[in-house]
Amino acid sequence: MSTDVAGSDPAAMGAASANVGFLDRAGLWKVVLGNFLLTIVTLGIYRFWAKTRIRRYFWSNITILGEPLEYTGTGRELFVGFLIVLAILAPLIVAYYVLQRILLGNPIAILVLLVAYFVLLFVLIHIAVFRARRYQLTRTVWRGIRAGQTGSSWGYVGLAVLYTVISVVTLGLASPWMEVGLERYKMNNTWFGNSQFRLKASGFKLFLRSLVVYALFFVPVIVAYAANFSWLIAAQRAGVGGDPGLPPPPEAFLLFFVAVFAGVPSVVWYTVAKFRYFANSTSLGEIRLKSAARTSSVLGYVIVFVLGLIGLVILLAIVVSVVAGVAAVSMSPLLSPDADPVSTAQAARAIYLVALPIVFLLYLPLYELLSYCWLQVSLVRHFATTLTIENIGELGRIAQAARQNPRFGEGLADALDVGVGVL
Amino acid sequence: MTGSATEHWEGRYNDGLTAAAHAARAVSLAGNLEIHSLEIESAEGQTLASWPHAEVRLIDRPGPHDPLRLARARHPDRLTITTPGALAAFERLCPALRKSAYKGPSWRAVAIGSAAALASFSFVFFVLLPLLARQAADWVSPAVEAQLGEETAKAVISIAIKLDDLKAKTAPDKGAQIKSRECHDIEGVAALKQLADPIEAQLHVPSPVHIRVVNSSILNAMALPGGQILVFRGLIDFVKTPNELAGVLAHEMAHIELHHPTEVVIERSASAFLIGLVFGDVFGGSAMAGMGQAMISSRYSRDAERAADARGIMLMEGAGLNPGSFAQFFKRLLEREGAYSDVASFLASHPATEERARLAEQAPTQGRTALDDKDWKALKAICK
Repeated sequence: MSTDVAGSDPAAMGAASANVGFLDRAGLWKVVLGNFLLTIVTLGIYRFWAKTRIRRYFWSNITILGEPLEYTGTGRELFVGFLIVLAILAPLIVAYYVLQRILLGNPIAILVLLVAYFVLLFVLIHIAVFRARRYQLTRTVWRGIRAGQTGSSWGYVGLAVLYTVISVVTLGLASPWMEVGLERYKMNNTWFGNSQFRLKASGFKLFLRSLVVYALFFVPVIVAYAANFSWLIAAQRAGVGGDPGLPPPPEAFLLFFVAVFAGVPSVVWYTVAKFRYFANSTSLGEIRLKSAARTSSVLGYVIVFVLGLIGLVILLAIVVSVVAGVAAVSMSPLLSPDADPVSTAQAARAIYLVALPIVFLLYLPLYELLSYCWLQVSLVRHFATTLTIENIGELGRIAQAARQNPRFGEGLADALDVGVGVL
Repeated sequence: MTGSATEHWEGRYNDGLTAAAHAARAVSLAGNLEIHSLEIESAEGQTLASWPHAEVRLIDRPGPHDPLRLARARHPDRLTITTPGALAAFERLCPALRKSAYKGPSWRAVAIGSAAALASFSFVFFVLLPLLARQAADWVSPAVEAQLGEETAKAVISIAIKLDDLKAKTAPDKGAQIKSRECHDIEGVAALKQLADPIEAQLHVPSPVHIRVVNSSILNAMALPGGQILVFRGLIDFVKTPNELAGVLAHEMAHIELHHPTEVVIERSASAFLIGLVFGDVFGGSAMAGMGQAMISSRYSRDAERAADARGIMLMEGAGLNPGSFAQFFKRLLEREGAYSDVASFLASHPATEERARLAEQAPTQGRTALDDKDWKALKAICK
């Protein structure tokens, strides 16, 4: 067997397992701000290169045995993929749009068209997700070996249709089986070099975990809703901002507390528990994964993110007030009560026209910074560094595989605006 | 360092065949980077690979303490240099070090993709959409047409008011301020009906034509789906004789009879929807917003205008009105066009105005005047 020079390499020292690492390389904020500016300047066309730069950053931060992942995709690939899909979709979209216009007055025809539209959209979205996953995997390289994905988009779509029907029929109770089924199809078709991943998970075990969400979220909300039913009806009749006529009973606040203090944490817990369960059920030959991801950490990142958003909105409110105040003072003759109403309206309009771009140009980049440089980085770091690879020495034995790789990427996913993966 | 002048660095090598890492030493030799194994048990000193300097690429920008991650262009093998401070030497040796390590599609593929998208869009805009819109205009039910017309009227009126506001900012007279959007002066409305009815009687349309006068200084009139005609105050101020206005109404009614407004609205909103897709607005929220703007600055095709002109003159003749003054109207529009090129009017800015004036001139000049003086005054004052 080959000697590994990385001195800390546990495989070389005979250790069986090692955690995935995260490098926290500097300069993500520069990537995010640069992407924002260039995307605006190019009316959105830069988004393909922007996505590529962000992915390159995240991939190169994740290390296994000290060696980072490499993202080999290019913006140009995404752009060409988008152009091709656009060329195919444009006539279809226009035909659909015109058809919808013609049939507008006929409720049955519109219903048929709408159902056809949603079925088509469902199918296209699942194809887009599966194809985008294939693209990203084939652009993922570690130690010179490419990952990949086999299987067919249509097989995946068929499975998704089947499980969705079952989930709907069982009012969502069966959705854990769907999650396991789709994840199994994806993982069992995932490769690193010539080695195939395996997911051995059961829908029932995930269902047991979903009971926590039922117990802490759905059931209490329904109970609280029922307890306040008469008050809620009165409130609804009074409409938004209307006076329901009777004061809210103390239990009315139960809804709010249940949703915030039990509902949100239970959903986060389920998401993290699902990740752990899937990771712990995944193997790659003799290699196994073990995740120790924590709900408390993830919840903490999300809470700080939400607080940051609130702070951002307050900051914007202050900036806009200051700008509007300065503008109002400088235009005070136009705003005085005895001024011509037309010029007053124009002055107010001018203030609005100044304030709007400020909100836009300040909020969007700050939001992106908060989202990428705090939330996404924290989540990726946490899920990566709590992931242990057992039997990691076997990784070195995996060989390159010759697979047909897609030449272009993700056009469909972009056209449908499907968020694929974290990024 | 050995005493020799050859430069060398240590690190690890991945051969691109397996995920094993091999301890290696890289040596710069005669324009190549020779990579030698440092593995003691098996193959010490054996050459693992030889990379031409010109093909060496940096995988990502390293920080000051990061190892150097290198690739050979278009090859799967990787070299990681752990010897500190190697970057400067590689910058010197490898001319294309900072070029992208990843090939990606060629510019030819980009060109082909762009051409395909462009061809598809041209096909959609110039062939498919006009064809579908023409068919759709014939198939669409009266109820849907009425709904389309109502939506469009709302969008057009709100934009007309915005345009007036903008003008009011620069124009010295602030009389353009809008009190109400539509003009309902009873005598004026009656006079307008008297003017329009004989023309409408000649028309073959499923539902009656509904004429609305909008209190806006825009010099324009337009036909909308569902048999609506919007006449802006600016046009009523501009016309000098009842027959000029009758000519405009006949022209717009001809558009309605020929389904042109429905065609244009469907075409414009579909293209706005499609353009939204390119810039990432998938569900077409901007389509309706763009429609009013499109309609106000919209032009029918030359063929459509010719057809409406011809049919409009026929309608006037049928109503026993003298169509001759329609020519006067176009002549005066032409003069005004020279003076105010920024006038927001598709009649005034139509490139074929000159040709249309000539066409109208050839029309017969007998026939009566549409309104007497008293009614004409009432009509001119419809917005007062």
